This record gives sequence, structure tokens and C-alpha cells, in this order.
Amino acid sequence: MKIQNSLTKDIHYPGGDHAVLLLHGLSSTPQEMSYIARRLSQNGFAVLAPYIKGYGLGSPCTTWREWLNEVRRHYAQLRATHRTVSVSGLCIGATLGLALAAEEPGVAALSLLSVTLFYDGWTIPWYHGLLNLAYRTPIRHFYSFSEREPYGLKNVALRAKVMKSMRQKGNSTIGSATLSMHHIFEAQALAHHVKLHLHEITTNCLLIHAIDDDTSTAANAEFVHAHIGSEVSRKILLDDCYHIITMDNERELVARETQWFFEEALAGKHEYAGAKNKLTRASA
Amino acid sequence: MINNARRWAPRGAWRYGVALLALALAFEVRILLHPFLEARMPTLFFVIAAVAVGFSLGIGPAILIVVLSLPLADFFFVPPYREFSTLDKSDVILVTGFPTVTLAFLAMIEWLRRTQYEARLIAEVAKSRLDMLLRTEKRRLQTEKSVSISNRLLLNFSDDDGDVLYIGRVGSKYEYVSEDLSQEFDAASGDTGTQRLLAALYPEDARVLALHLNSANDAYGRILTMHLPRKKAHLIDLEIQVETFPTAHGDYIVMKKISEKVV
Repeated sequence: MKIQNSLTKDIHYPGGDHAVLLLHGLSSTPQEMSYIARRLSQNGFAVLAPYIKGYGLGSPCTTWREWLNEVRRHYAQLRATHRTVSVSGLCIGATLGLALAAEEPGVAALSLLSVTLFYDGWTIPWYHGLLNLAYRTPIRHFYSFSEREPYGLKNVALRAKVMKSMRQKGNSTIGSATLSMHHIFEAQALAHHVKLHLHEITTNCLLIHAIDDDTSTAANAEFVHAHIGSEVSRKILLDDCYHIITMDNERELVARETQWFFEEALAGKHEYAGAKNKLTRASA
Repeated sequence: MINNARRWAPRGAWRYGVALLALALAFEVRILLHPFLEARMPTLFFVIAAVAVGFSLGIGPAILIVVLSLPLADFFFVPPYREFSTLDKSDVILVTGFPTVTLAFLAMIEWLRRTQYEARLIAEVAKSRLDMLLRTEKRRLQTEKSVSISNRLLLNFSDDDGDVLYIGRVGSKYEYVSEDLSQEFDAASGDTGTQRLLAALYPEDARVLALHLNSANDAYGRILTMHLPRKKAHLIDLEIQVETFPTAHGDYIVMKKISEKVV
């Protein structure tokens, strides 16, 4: 219990005028954002990575609208005390970030890490598409989706550590060993909501995704890149990591690109060119 | 191989609907040509449909076409027509040959499409890495310039010859004014050091300097030579050199004395 409490603790670093809200993944913990939080804090940003009740590890699942209310509350708190607030999220946390940006055009910039609108990665079983049907039956009370190897991690040493924790305690830094059908259903409902409102989002957006993501393929990032209403949308694909890119082999690069993107957004330095006004090499 | 390469095809159940439409079209064309073809090539159009769907929508919908077209072809286009009761050589050739050949085609197409998708993903990673490298290089160059500018600025703080008349940050009250120059400054002429400095210059020089301070993208700064009028008319103008230092923490101005000029 004590261990779970330490995992679900908010990460908060005070800083300057510019704040960053970091959103962890579904049924997971703020700890998976700790590396990027430290990096942003070291570079002068105020950082808050809150544990979201009803969405994070260990709390009974609530609806996606309640998740969004929680995120909105944290955003409003930061907005009241800081000049700008940028948002970054991992997995469904990125989807929540998009839902927030659709409502709050004041978000300074978005960094969407392994954004998940479709569960279509290589570890997702073929029958996943049938879960929506199964959710309408009493099966929803009994079935839960078990996390499986590689647990979103390509780094073998880190994966071994996570596996050990999953087996012994049923959870780890990257979250719970199982995902209830309620969580999956609500996440899919959130993704559906975001897909409908994607074109309304005008916030500058950075997308970072692994091509061998085991939970959601790079097609997710491509979908957001193609349909988001932002004038500036930068997409980065990586090959030496899986889904949890904030902890895996390329976390340094993910943190650096996020920091630079936020700094450029604040300085108004995003240059863009091309037919769809998406960032091109000229902006590099 | 990248595990996600198998996800190259578009997603969704609609693909199977399109496969059924392709099957219906192939059947329709074959039945129209049946008086001409008779028992020859009973599965030709089904193979074409399966290959086209396999290429564009993936192997799943293509296999659906193969599975459904086998009884259709046997029933309608292999003699004796419209019955399953007789099993002869033609039926055996159809039942063994058609699925084997078509599935072999589909397997090769699937393998090529996965390889093609993998190559596209790897190319995108390469492009992302190049973009990141260029961004890093741009930052490195900016840092290099910033260090060089800061080093040159710092030299003025240890002014051994006493030539420095003024050091100030643009738009700020922070400034150093030498004793010589303080006599020429009018304290009431502006809130910031920059405003007082501009007020002390000839109007034309002040205009040039103000224009220079407002101009963007001059990362290295520039050296301007101008004259500083004296309050006492009998004193000669000072020939001065004004240099700007655009640092990461604001632009600095350094004014140095070159010589005195007789009016």
C-alpha cells in the first residue's frame, strides 16, 4: 500500500512563469513522466504531473468526462498562477491533452507522446475489436486485459525490473498489470470524442511516436498529424523504443525535443512551410 | 522486421464489405462472359479480385474472397453446371489449384507490402533524425555565437585604456556611464539608459542607432561610428564607436571613445 502511495504521488516542481502539465497514461502513475518532469524543471519550467483519480493506478474507474474534469481543474490551477501552460501526455494522457486543448485554446503548446486513438499495436490481441460488444454484456465485470511482455519497454534491463514488480505486486511505475474493461471502454469513448473535435484544435502540437509501438501504431500519430487544426504540427518517429517513450531507450531525446518545442512555442519561433502549413525540414 | 509492419493495411470492418463487393463484381463479369468462356478459366476473375483486394486492403479480406469464390466457381462455372453432386478431375483441379495459387500470390503480396511499409517507416525515422540533427546543429551554432558575443562583451568590462564611455542593456536602467560621458548626459532626457544615450547623440546618429537596435536577425551585432556632441560648445566632438551585443539575456550597447575631433 505504501509503495502504491509513493507511485501515485503527484510530481510538482515550482518554476518560472511558464508551467507544464504532464498527464500520465491510463491506469498508470505520474512516475512514468518523472524523467521529462525533471528535465523541464531544470530548464526553468514549473511542472505538475498529477495523479488523476478514477483514471490512474489503483482507483476505481470513473467516466472519461470525470477524467477530463480533473485535468481541467489542474490546468485552471496552473493557469491562475502562471503566464502560460503547456500540456504533455503519454498514451491516453496525450488523448486527454487533446480533449483539453479542444476546450481550452489558451494551451500554449501540446506534446503528444505515443498518442493513442486506436489500440492497434503488435501486442494487442485480434479480438480487441470485439471488446466493445463484450462490454455490453456481464463479461465486463469479469474480464480484464492483462499487460504482457514487453510492457511497452524495449530496454531489457528496465523491462526486467518492471516485470518483477508486476509479478510481485501487480503494479509498477508504468501502471497496473491488468486493465479493466471499464478503463478500455472509457478510453475508447474519449478517443472517439477527440476524433470528432480534432479539427477544432489550433494549439501548436508535437507528436512523438515509436514505429514499433506495441500498444498503438504510428498510424495514430499520422492520423492526428493529418487531421488536427493546428498550423504547427511536428511529427517525430523513433525506432529504438516501444510505447513508454518517456522511460525507454530514447527518453533523453523525447525530453529534449519536448523542452525545445515548448521553448519555441513560447518564443513564437515555430516556422512552418508547405501545402498544409505543417512543419517541414525548413523549420529544423 | 518491425513487428508493426503487419499493420500496413487500412483498418476497419468496411474492408470486408469492399471484398464482398469485389467478389460480386468478379462473379458478375464471369457470368456475363460465360457463354464465350464456357468451362475455361472458371476462377480467373476471382483471382484478379483477390489479388487486387489483397494488394490494397490486406490479406484478411482477400482470403474471404478466396473462401467464398471456391464454391461459387465450382457451382456455376465447372461442368456439370449448377450442381455439387459430381466430383471429377475438373473439380479436384479447381479445389486444389485455385486456393494454392491464389494464396501463394497473396502471401507474396503481403510480404512485399509489409516490407514496403517497413521501409516507409524507417525512412520516416531517418527524416525525423535528420530534422532533430538540424535543430541540434542550429542550437549549437546559436550557443557558439552567444558564447563568442558574451566573451567580446566581457572584454569591455575590464577596460584597461579607459576608452569605454558607456555600457548598458537596451530598455533597462542598468548602465555604466564613464565620468567623461556623465557630463554630457541629461538626466531628465529619458527613463532608461538607452533613451538618455540616444538623446545625447546628434539626431541623425540617434536615428541610425535606434533603427539598428530595432532591426532583428542581427545575431553578431554591428559596430557603428558616430560623433558625440559636447554640452560646452567650445569643446570638440568625440568620435565614438557604438557596438551592440545581442546576448541570450538581452541586447547590450557599448560605446567607446576613438578620438577627439575639432569642430
